[in-house]
Amino acid sequence: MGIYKAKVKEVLGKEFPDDARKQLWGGIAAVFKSWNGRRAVSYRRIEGIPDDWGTATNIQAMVFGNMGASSATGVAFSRNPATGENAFYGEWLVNAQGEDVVAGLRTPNPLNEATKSEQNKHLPSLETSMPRVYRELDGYRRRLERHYRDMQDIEFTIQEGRLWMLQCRVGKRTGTAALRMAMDMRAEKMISDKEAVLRLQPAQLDELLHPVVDPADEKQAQAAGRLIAKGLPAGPGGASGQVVFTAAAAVEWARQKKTVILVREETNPEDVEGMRAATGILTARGGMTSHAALVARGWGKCCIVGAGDIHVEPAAGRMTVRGKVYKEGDVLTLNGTRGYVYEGRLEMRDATENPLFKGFMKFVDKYRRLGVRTNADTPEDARLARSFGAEGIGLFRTEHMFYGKGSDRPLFLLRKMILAKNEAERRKALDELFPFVKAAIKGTLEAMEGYPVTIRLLDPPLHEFVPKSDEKRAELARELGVSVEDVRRRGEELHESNPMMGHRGVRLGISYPEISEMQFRAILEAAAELCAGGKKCLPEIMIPVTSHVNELTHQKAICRRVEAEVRAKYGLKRIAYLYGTMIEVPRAALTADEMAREAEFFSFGTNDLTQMTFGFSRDDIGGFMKGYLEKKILADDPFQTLDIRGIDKLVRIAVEGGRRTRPDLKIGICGEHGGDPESVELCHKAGLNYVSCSPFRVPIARLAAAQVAIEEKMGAAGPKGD
Amino acid sequence: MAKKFVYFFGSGAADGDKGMKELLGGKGANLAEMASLGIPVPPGFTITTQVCTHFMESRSRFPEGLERQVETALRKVEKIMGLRLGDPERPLLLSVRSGARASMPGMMETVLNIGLNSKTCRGLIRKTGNPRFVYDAYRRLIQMYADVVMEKAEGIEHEEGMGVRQQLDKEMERM
Repeated sequence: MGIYKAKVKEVLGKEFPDDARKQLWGGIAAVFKSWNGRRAVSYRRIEGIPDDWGTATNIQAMVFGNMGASSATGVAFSRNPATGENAFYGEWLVNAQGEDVVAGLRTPNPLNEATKSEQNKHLPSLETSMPRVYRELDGYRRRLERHYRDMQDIEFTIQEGRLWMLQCRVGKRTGTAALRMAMDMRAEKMISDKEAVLRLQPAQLDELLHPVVDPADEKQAQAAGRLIAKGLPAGPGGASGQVVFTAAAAVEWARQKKTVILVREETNPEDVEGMRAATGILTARGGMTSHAALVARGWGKCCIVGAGDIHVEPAAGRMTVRGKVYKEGDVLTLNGTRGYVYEGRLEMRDATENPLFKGFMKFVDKYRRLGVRTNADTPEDARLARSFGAEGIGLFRTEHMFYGKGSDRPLFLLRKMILAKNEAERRKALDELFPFVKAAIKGTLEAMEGYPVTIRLLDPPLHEFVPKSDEKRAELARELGVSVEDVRRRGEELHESNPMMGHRGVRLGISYPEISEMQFRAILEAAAELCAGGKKCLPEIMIPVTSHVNELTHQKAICRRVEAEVRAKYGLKRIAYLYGTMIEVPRAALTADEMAREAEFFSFGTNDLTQMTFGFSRDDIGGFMKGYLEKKILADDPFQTLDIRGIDKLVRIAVEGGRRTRPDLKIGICGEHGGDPESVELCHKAGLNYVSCSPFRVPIARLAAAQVAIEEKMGAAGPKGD
Repeated sequence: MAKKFVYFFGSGAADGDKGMKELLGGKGANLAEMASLGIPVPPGFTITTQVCTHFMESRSRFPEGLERQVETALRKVEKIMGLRLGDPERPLLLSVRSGARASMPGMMETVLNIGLNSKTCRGLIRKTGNPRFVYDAYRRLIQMYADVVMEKAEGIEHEEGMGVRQQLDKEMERM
């Protein structure tokens, strides 16, 4: 020991203190100082823990697990933290100190016989090695769990046959385990229904609905340096497959029963079929609300966007990641929940449908006040969302019928309409388009079985639909009886320097009333036919991108005229529908009292509202959002979590103004925020009637809405316990 | 009366409870709760997060009255264990651990086996009859103390691999 102490003096220039009290006070000071140690400070930054909390210091009599064969140390969980199974689960080491179990230098033994695994079945359990101590420990486990009414994470030490408990706390768990524990503890009458609802984080539902990358395999892959890139976690779950670089290749390979990952610099609407065919999507550019991200989330498909280290060369059939080349057909794995890209194949854990999930969601619905709808553009999506418990469609986009499967003819007719040079030509094209629009709307109204469906009139700028390829231009030129050059020139005339703020939404309907008229007629005839056939349906006609009440007045006159014509045609006294608007321009929110004179409902389009309030182009945030978050200019990406200071304020102004004019005004939200738990909470507090989100997020929104309602009641009743 | 900085727990009783996480940290609050339930926890005491805040704001000085409260609590621990800190025959050894409101696993420091020195070492060997165990404990204390208290807490930074912990490891290999 002399040499040892001398070395301390040599390195640090000071003596190791022999005095016990001096050691104690030195230790206390060092623990307090470690609150501001580098590791602790950076951990607090990541976890958002305030610097001024400080740490307490615990001084305890030492007990030793390393005093021979009758001494031991271990960690345990009162239930299995991975599966939730009600079985005492843990690890222990004989003749060892606490740190040895966690450090992983020795392979720990299983706690009991029942929880032995393939890896440790040959090792002795505490149950058989020290039966008396094990029974005592099991008694404390039961007692602590009953007392805390939650799963406990326990540390213990056995010194020469005597058991000491060193720590207990509520244990961390997977989503699967959280669900099972909540349901089991409720059945055991340990917790109430309300508490059970609060036990599952809404984000943990993701894990229950999508296959995920096996965490153990992922850890190994990271250690082996197979993590090649990071991007934004746009679509949850995991996916392994061969990479392809064009949508066409994705479709073709999928047809050959291959599993593919579609890798693109960025995606656009023309890639939709390829995205549908792929098992996972990876893009080098774009943010959380980029096209790829929106589409993938809508389908619940694994997707990573904005992985900036990736450079795609579709023509060469390859991509490079920091100098390393990957060819078409090479295998990658995506963890869409974390945004990690791996080389090679990783194991997936199948999130098979849990029967507990359905039971859980049933009593979740008892508590929420907020309605939950879905964003869906096809009858298939509508049915999927119904199975997830959606109570209507909050956003049906008519333009969807111009993308993807079966869109050739309607898209062609739309292009014909766009390039028409006068009203007569335009009306002719619209007449041809009409049956397609009506059929699509009718199918979706029918799939929703009487639940309301909010149908948004054509929203994007027209130039998005102008043909870009020579072949398509030639086809259109033949049909219209003009030259290819004419088609090209008319397309160019539609070009705008800032199309997101250009000729789109209601502005199209003001310039070309016949476009709105056709859509009103399609919606109302679809409803009339269902109605005449004895089916219930409730369309809600939504005018997009409005900023002035006069726009609504103008369009409403057309709508009412068409309604009268349709009623006459079908011999109906009335058609049940609502006329309303999207609130996505700040001026519309600020003048909501006026807007509500014409609108029977509002739906906040929070993507555009965020875009126009911040002045952030959502397709370009990839360039600066990362820096904004890193430098703490913004705490969250406002396209993911509703901005409380700004957007929430606008929402509240609009709710208050709108309801002043029309007390029964129905108000919802249909941006991607509808599925974000924090935003759901804000919507509840702002007094909205419903949120609407992509089908896979419907259960998440239902749970978040129930939790905020429960917490609100508990808050009113006084502070909650532990 | 002076402010309460020190919360005792052990032997079926505790000053604090599980609702006091802000003051006692998660670990301290739960240790107090377990002690109250009569579950065997090694006796000890928690110094509050307020002392930490005071310590940081007053350039590493402890608040007035803390020392007396620590001595009183220590006396109780000694009585329960039948041992005394620094006693050459029946020495009490202590652990000093952090514990914040939120779990920060492995981010802060711990010192174990406080109370061992050349005299108490001999007493403990006589008591346990296990010199190997005692010397191992003493070695761990010197290494941990030098690393955590004398080096890191003093803000001393060595070149990679030249810290006192690593140098003592090398010394150990030579021995």
